[in-house]
Amino acid sequence: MKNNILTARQYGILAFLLAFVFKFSLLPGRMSATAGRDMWLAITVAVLIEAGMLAATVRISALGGIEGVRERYGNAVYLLIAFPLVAVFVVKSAIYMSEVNTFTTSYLFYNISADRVAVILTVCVIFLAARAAKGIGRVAEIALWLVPVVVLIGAVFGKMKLEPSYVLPVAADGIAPIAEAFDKNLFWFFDYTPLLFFRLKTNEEEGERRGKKRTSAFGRFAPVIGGALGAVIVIPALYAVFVMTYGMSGHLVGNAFSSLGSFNVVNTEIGSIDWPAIVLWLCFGVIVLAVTAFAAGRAAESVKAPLPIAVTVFTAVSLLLTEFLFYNSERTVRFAEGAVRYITTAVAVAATAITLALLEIASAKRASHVSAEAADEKIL
Amino acid sequence: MRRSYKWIAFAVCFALILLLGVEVVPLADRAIVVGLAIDGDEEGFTVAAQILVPSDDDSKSSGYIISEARSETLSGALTKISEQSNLIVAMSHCNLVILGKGVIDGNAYGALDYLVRNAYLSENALLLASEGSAADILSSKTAYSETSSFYIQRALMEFGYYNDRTVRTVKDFLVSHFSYNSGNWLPIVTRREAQSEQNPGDSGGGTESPSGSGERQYVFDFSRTAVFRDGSYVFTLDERGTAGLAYVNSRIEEGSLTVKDEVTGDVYNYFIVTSRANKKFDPDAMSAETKVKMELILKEVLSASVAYGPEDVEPDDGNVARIKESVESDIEAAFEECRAYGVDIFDLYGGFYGKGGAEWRDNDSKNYLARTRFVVDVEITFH
Repeated sequence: MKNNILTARQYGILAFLLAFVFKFSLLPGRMSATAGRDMWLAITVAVLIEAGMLAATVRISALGGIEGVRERYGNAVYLLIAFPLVAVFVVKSAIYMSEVNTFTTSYLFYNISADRVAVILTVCVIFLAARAAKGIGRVAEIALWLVPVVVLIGAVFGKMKLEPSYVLPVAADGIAPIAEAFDKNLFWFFDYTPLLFFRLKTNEEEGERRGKKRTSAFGRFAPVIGGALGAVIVIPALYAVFVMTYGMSGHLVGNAFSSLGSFNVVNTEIGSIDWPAIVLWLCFGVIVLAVTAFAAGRAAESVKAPLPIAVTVFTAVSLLLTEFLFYNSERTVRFAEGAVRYITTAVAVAATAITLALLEIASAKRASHVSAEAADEKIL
Repeated sequence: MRRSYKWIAFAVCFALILLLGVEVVPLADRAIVVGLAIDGDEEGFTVAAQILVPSDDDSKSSGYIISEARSETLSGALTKISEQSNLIVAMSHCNLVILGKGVIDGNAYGALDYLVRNAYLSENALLLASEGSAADILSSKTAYSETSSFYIQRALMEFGYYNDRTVRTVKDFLVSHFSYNSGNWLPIVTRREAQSEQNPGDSGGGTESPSGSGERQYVFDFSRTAVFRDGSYVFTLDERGTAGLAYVNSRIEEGSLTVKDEVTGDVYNYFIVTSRANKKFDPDAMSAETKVKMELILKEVLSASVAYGPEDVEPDDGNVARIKESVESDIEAAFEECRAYGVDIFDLYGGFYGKGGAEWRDNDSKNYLARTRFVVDVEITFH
């Protein structure tokens, strides 16, 4: 079933969101606690490594996604790679869902327990995930328009109180705190793996469909490159802004995005201008959870499970984990900073590397087969 | 995908909401806190919350009550206020927190722990200190507005860019607390009884409210500053010191500056259009230079000898020198007084460390505050 095809623009936006969203909730506070003012350097290292991962992921998606492995090597090989990934998705979804729930109950509503919020958000996640690539991609395109709204509101009504000297000196204590921050918070990195389950319809294919010719690599992947560049530039830049705003008190910040989104405005002046930022982050959070749920559901489709049922089961399991294990941010952080971070990272990196290798080998074989056939035809 | 799935999702959502129920707390059941006064001693906190009381009558404006409770902890006191009022305390509209003398003399930072943990209270809520009871300030009836917290907020937000006051939020206080020297400050709010219309010269008497209720009315002053180190109060900067602190640590957009020519007795008043400070550090020479760029408008001249016309916007060099001297001496007064108490109010450590890095920190930072040569340079332009 071809319900996993994204346009290059949608793919670029989702790549950006997967890298961006959960780096602006609990993570800045955690990074600040370990790396202090050098947290922006730690995140720069992380997003650059992630960009390398994204390049591999894009290549895989362009070769037909992880399902290319099933087509060329059979279901068993595919499931060997996909199932560890699904397990990682369950854990990541549970942790990220916990962050969304805590954020929602802390910043949006009074005295509403997290379980009620979680159930309602879960239905949104399931609904969006069941709409598959087309629905998720379209919602992401629309939600992105909230970004200029937030920026515009900040520019018009906000007050910039940045202290550039807070980022200095750079790496005064060497790379040890930066490396420690990277290591301790590994769980929040390498989040591109759900994209392995999508196929990338490049601008070239789109152009051909419309009767246009566009052959350069840049032209084919321009929106994806834009999404990757956006993540590499925007995330460290916002972390630097975070340091310039909070100095060494960043560890006290619960949700960085809504804190930065308040733009230093006292509520009595014009009301809470952090609202657009809160809504934006929540939309993005639901989209990322839906992408992950869809990826897990897509894997389950290979064993004949209908997508809606699969994403419902996946999200319900994540929800139960959230409700019973990660019902507050302290438990969430303690778990995410434990040994599980190495497992999730190892699975993400290994699955991407193995999938890429298998698809490249198959692609090379097919190319040599085609050229051999062409040579045979010439001889005949 | 079948379209029926959409309807199943909605049905599931609806059923879950029905099954789980939805907690709804009507607005009338909330105690909307608009200001908080925290007093304390070794045994705990006395918290006074200014709570809005909505009026049913459209012709009447909403009033407020001050609800006070005492407990070992801040959250405990707020819970008692909830119990007293039978309302759920809502902090999301609280944009003013006043710390009483007992709190700032103890561990002011520690007292803020609940406010930091409480996501409902905005980190941009204004934070002030009081020399006496914070509850007295909050419960004061103001001469211009019924609700003291709104009056104070307006004074600090709309006139917060003046050179005679500093404005601090909960976030600002936390950021400074976690600076290298933990040098910190809060504006001190004091109240003064408003002058009576009947007896304008009677400075000791207060004004009765127009309604004749006998209630005294007050105006507030923010011209002094409480200085902290490591979260606890150290001393108070006077008006000059507060202005000096504002010149370096604030972005001044408005304000007033008056200088006097001691020879002729002429008095000149200037409107401050903008004032910005820029700090430069030389860790090798242990020298810190603060350059203040100020744009002024000549506003008023009281002179018996010189006739100034409306076209005269730039005073002579002597006057410019006097302005510079006035600003420089205010800044130096703030710095030297803080230095005498061991408070690095201009974050010199951060500046030297930023420039000199770990080498300066490890080898040259000892006793840095006493060894620093602090230079102030003021550049004046006229609008």
